[in-house]
Amino acid sequence: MIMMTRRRFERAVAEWQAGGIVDAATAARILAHEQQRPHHRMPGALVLLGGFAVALGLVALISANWNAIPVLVKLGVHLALTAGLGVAAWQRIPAADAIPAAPGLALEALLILLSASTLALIAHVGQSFNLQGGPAGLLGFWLALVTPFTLALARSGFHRWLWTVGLVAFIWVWLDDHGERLLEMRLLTTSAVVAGLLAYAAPIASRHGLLNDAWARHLRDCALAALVIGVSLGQFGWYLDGTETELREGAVDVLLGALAAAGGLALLTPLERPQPFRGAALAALIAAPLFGALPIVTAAFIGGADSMWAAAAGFCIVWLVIARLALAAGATGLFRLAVVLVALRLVIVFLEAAGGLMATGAGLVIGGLLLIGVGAATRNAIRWAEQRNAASRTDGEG
Amino acid sequence: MRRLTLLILLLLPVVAIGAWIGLLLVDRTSDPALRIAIRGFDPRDLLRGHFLLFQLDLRTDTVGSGPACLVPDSADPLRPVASPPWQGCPYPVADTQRSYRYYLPEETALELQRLLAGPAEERGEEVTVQAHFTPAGDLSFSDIRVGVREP
Repeated sequence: MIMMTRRRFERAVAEWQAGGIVDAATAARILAHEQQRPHHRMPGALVLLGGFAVALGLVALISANWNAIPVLVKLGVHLALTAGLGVAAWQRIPAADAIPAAPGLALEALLILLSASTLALIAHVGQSFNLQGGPAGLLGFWLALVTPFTLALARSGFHRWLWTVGLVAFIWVWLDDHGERLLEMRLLTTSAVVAGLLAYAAPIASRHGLLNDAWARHLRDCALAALVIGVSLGQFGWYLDGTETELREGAVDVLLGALAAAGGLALLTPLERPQPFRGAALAALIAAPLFGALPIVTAAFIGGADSMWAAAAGFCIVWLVIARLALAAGATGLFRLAVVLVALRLVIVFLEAAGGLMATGAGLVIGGLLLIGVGAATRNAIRWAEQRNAASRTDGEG
Repeated sequence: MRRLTLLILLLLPVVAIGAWIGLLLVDRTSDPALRIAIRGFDPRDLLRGHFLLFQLDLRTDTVGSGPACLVPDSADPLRPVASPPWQGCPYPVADTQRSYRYYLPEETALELQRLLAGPAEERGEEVTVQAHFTPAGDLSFSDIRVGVREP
């Protein structure tokens, strides 16, 4: 099988040479380099399989005899293992004081294992002493311990998202325990906004050498994603009906948070270099939280719209603005997402309005035609944007 | 960032958790403790994986749910009386109706669940646990035992 793969590779190199992509000398150098590389995958695979079997066997032995092992021995071994992972990760750090942009797979793996071992160790202590804490305490303590080295050393996108999922999980369970008290103080949304603004300001910290660039971009992107999700979900407030006086407490909370968000974005955005949002984009960014708060504030103080059309229109406005800004910025992926979401929302509002008709032949025909139309329009819009961006890139290179 | 600083960050989890374990061991020996009978509660499915769920079997005539100060009763040492909380109480609880969990080996978990499932008065045996108290009213537990119920 290895020989077949090598033959396929040699055929590919011959095709590149025939197509003028590489010359004869380069083709010969490529083939010579490949021949020198070791291709002994089977021994390595057997070693990996053997190592996995040993690890699995050890886990099975330990778990079968877990209760027979004294508590302090178990904790001592777990502490030693965690310390070993920390030292092993430290030894993988390059000798120079500056951490390179991509320190390597081994270091990333050791950092992830260290994070996992820390989380397991906290739970292990809780189990050994029969402590009665909840998930918020577990995750909060874990984040406090792993965040410093994770921000300093982790560089892979996978690790960044792992940490982000842990942070979101912590916020979720913490709000479950304390959210009601914050709502009574009208500070629930504002608390979330403050956390989001800190993440949004990460590139400013990065400019002063306090944070790695990739982490700064990731945190800022997470903050923007949270803003977009919040504004989109806020449009469901148009479904509320009547004068919802009992909503006033929540509406005041949301309004205060929205004002804090708008003010924070207006203050922080000009401080970043280069400034990420200008002109219409900056105006849209600052207006976004206020637009998200509009439905619930309207329902609480003026009267609920009780309208699926208003909810759909609000959602589509949000994502059409995002599509327009994405087009201007050349962000084809974001444009695609925005167009698809608008299309899906239109389909959903049709189903809400005429869902009962779908049980009839005529309803199915109309629904099907709508789906075909929306699908075709979406595809054409995406294709148009891609061609526009390709043309802009070519003009730029010319 | 200097390599020494990075080493400190990487060993921070071990040092912090090691210190925490040390504090827990010291607190275990110095914190006030009482042996208290435990009971089941509705829903009757008291097992969550390896954890047994239970409530403390307290005499709550003078206080309902909520914070209380436990006072040992010489007539029934395993069922202390829950009285109104006061400053300096050695055995405070944050909530007399709170349910707790205890990690158990699988072989004993089912047996204990069976023992706790029925009414206490009908059981010939009772389950007790050593409860360790903190000034904030948080409890931790050790040494779960099954003994003959005193008539």
